[in-house]
Amino acid sequence: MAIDHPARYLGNELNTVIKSEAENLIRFAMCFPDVYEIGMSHLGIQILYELFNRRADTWCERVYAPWPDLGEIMKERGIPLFTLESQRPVRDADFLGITLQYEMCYTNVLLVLELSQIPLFSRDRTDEDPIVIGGGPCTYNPEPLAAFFDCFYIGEGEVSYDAFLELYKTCRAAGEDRRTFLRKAAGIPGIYVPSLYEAEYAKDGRLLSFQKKYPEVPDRVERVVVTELNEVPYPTKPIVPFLQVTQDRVVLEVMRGCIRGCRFYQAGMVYRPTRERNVECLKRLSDEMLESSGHEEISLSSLSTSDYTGLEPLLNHMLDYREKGINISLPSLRIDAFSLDTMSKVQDVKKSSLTFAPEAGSQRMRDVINKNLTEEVIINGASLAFQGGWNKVKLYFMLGLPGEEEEDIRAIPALAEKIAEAYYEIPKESRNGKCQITISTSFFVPKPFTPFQWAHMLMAEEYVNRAHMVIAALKTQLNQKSIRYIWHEPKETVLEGLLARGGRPLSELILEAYRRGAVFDAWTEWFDPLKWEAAIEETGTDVESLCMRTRDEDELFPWDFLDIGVTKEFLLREWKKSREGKTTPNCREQCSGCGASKFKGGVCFEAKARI
Amino acid sequence: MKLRLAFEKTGEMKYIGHLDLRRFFQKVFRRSGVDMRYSEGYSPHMLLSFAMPLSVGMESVGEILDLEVNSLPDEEITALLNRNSVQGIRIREAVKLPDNAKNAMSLVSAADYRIRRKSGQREPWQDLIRTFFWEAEELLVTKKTKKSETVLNMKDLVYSFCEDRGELALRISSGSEKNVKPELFLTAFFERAGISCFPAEWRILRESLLTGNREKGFVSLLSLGEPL
Repeated sequence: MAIDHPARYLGNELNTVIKSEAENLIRFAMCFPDVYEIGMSHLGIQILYELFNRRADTWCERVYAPWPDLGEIMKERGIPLFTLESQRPVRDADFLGITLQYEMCYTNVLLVLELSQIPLFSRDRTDEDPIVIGGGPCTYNPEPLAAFFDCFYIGEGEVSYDAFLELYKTCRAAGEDRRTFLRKAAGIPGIYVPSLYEAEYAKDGRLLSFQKKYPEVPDRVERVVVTELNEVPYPTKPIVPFLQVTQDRVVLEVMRGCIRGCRFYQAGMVYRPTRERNVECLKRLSDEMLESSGHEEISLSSLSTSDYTGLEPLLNHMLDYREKGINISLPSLRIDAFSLDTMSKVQDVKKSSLTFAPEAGSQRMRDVINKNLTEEVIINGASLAFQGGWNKVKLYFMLGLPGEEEEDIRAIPALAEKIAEAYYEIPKESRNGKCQITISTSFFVPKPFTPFQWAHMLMAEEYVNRAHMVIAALKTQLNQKSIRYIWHEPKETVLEGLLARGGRPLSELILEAYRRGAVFDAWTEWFDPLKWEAAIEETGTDVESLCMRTRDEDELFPWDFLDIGVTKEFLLREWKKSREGKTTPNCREQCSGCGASKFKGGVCFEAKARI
Repeated sequence: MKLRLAFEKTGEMKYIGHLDLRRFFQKVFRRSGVDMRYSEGYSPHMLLSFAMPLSVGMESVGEILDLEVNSLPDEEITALLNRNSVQGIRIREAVKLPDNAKNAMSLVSAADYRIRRKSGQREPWQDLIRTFFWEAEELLVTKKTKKSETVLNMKDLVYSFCEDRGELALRISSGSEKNVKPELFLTAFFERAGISCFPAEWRILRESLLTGNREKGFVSLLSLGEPL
């Protein structure tokens, strides 16, 4: 029996929490349904781990999806999936929490349930089984997975989990069954219990109606939001893995939300309003985390760190760590004199590369997506960096954005060409050999709760055509030898789009794909489009209607029952503006009335305070 | 100042690989606030080195780690490190080395192992060892590496082999010059002695790492230092 990286399954990492098996302890198995190295890098789980384990009556343990080498053996021999801390079966826990970070992990959810020997469908579970609860960004359209979950948590864990666990304790003490508990839990803000709602779908996958089954159940489920980030618990004793995981460093979350309203970007909408931690709080947290973990690197986390108002004092504090031999890993910052100066202090300028994310090549397209970044700013930033000694630049773009024309596509290599020209304008003696520009394109996927939730996708072949247009245009350019182009296979893109905006009927598709062996779909080496194509055929899933059609403005979406703060009216306004090529200012420039101010916190009130 | 630590790696921690163990110790030293010496250069690293990697899956009570510090911590160092370690990785002892001491990696020349059959099944070990090892003229094994195959006579490379309290005790050539894995020798010996056995039936424990040679004798790497 040869298993790769056995340390994935051992537990016993520093700062893990072990509790004695006192009676009545609530056991919460927290799962990231991917391999250990990916799951352990996720900050959200570390936050929840801290939050739950602070409670004397609760023991939160971790679970990851076993890599197929072990997964197969467990299936063959009937070994139940276990938690890392106690090495006990997941099915013995009171709760199995699964974080849903990307659509391509959906078959792994079924893998985790099956290996845990928990019935796949919520309706088949009994009081002997854990309550299966989902969280994370994919819960902003939980419907494709609704049949597999007993409930979902919509929003930030710090807000409602205490009430949720207290209710569980009360129900358990009173000997009430899971259905009674779930019925009561539906009254807690942020808790969605799918079985208490009825949804009717047309044959082409369109939602016809969505209704609650019982009068006491809320009509809409409200996302819960932390208003004061300085006051919530943070994992100051992070678990330190033995294996080298993706994020093998202290991660400091400086803020939540983003002030820039990129119209393709779900995180930019669903995490509104922007809320910051203050610099003093962050200094204290980072000091504590470095000390308790022994990590030798620290990084900042947020959606747009350059917009953090305390960036300069915070980075200066972090630079002091250099004396203790601690590396600073900088997130992609907006390129300006200050960020270049900071970067030159912490990186080897000759080796490191700079990242720009213009997302679209032409100004017209950048206005369509509301990426408030002009060509001038990009070129100036690059010139400044080149003068500072850098010669490697990475550029990220999307292909297949709504309304994209051939000239927008050709503008992508053209922008890279202009950057190369800026480099060769520097006198030969003061530059550092050739420049290396890397263009990377991904394909646009419309997501729920974005202004582009109405947009259509393109067929896989069309995505390939567009990538070839980039290549063809690149070949005509003078500096083509300084520019490299990377693009990703599009088959996964269409599937991601399907799972992102589909409804409850898709549970059949996911199950069918899983039955055909689809698992670890986010991994190129495991992703098998043929299994999915066969499953689409078998279940009669209408990809055309769900993905390739511009949705009607008054269409009912499977996720409309969620109230994330940002209103559908705002999103529709943004969708219309995008088609006129009009931009919207960021939250600090001017409030655009998105609806997130109802949470009474963050940037919405910061702006008012200034007036 | 050069220090040498002896530590244990037991239980489930036997599955932690060598590079992961190295990173683990770097973090232990940071957490403990030990005033480590770093290499010069753009990305300085801690000055620490292990005597000899331990195979994944094998336990040990006698691993050796050398390190350099600028100063000693106020607290007794083994207690300090153990407080910042995890179950299964325990520092047993720390000694101070002379400034001109060679590192353990270049000194190690033999290792002691204890081998136990998991089932507890006994064999007439003393007779078997005498007949099929000490009285045999040679015991040849083929050592395969990616590049080459070499035939080694175990009679030259096994320094001690006997039964002790129901277990097998083995001292065998190790280190950078002539390294022989205990599994390699045991497989050849069992085959010669007509004992069928699978590696999974055995628990091999590394007991200590030694320096010296057959003529002058072997001493523990730890004995080259002075108590702190």
